[in-house]
Amino acid sequence: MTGQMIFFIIFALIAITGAVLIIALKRISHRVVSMAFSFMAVAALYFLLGAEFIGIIQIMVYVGAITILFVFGMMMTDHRNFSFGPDPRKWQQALSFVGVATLLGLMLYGISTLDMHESTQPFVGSVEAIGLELYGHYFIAFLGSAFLLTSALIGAIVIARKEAD
Amino acid sequence: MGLGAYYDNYILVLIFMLLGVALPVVSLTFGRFVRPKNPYAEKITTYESGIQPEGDAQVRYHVAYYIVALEFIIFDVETVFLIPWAVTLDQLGWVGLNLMLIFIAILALGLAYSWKKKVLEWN
Repeated sequence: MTGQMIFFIIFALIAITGAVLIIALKRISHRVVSMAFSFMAVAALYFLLGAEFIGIIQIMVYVGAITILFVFGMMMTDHRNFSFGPDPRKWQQALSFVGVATLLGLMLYGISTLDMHESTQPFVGSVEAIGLELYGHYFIAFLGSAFLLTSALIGAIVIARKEAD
Repeated sequence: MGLGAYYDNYILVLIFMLLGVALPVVSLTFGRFVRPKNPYAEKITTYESGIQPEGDAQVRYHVAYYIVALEFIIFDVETVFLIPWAVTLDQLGWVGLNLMLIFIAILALGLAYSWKKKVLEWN
């Protein structure tokens, strides 16, 4: 077993354990901490893949910003008088199981058909390569993300103003 | 650069991570054996700048904080997009410059909206 494999298993276990604890823990503040752990482990997996830039972005945006947004949401809601108990509706559980199973099947199919040929030249993902692809080939997706971010901001303002009044 | 050399660079990161974890663990464990332990009711109450603690620590905050946090995330993501753009600008040329100006203009629209709706003002 190579060192890369050992570290992959360690970080993958942290990521999965963190993800499971997000829904298994009782207190919402503990859930946020376990989410940060999960995000950090995913960032470590990006580093293992050689995608340094994506790993840094993962830490910066997900651990640094998204988690903080969740903390803010926690500070604003009356989370202690609100129970997260499971909804005992049978058909809902069955439906969600079907949904998750379909997603798992699709992902397994996607991974199994993926052409993962051995590269002769190990690729270390660089900022430059990402920049050339993002602003050359995929510029429409890039501009689409601008619209997504702006609509998220405007939507939040509309909802928050309604709440504040 | 091969992946082997790439991973070798991260041994240093690993050492610093271990040091970072070890520092509080070692100092707190060491302190437990050295310090005197004499707790009483006044000593173990919550410290609130020297005055009597009032109410609960988990009070609810105004929703305006959320907008500020969201605005932070949006411009955080903008910075993320700026880094690969700045590195490759000499190859992207004028097209790249215009592309980023359009991107920033769209994001500025959201900022202008929040400015106009006065959600960034505190009263």
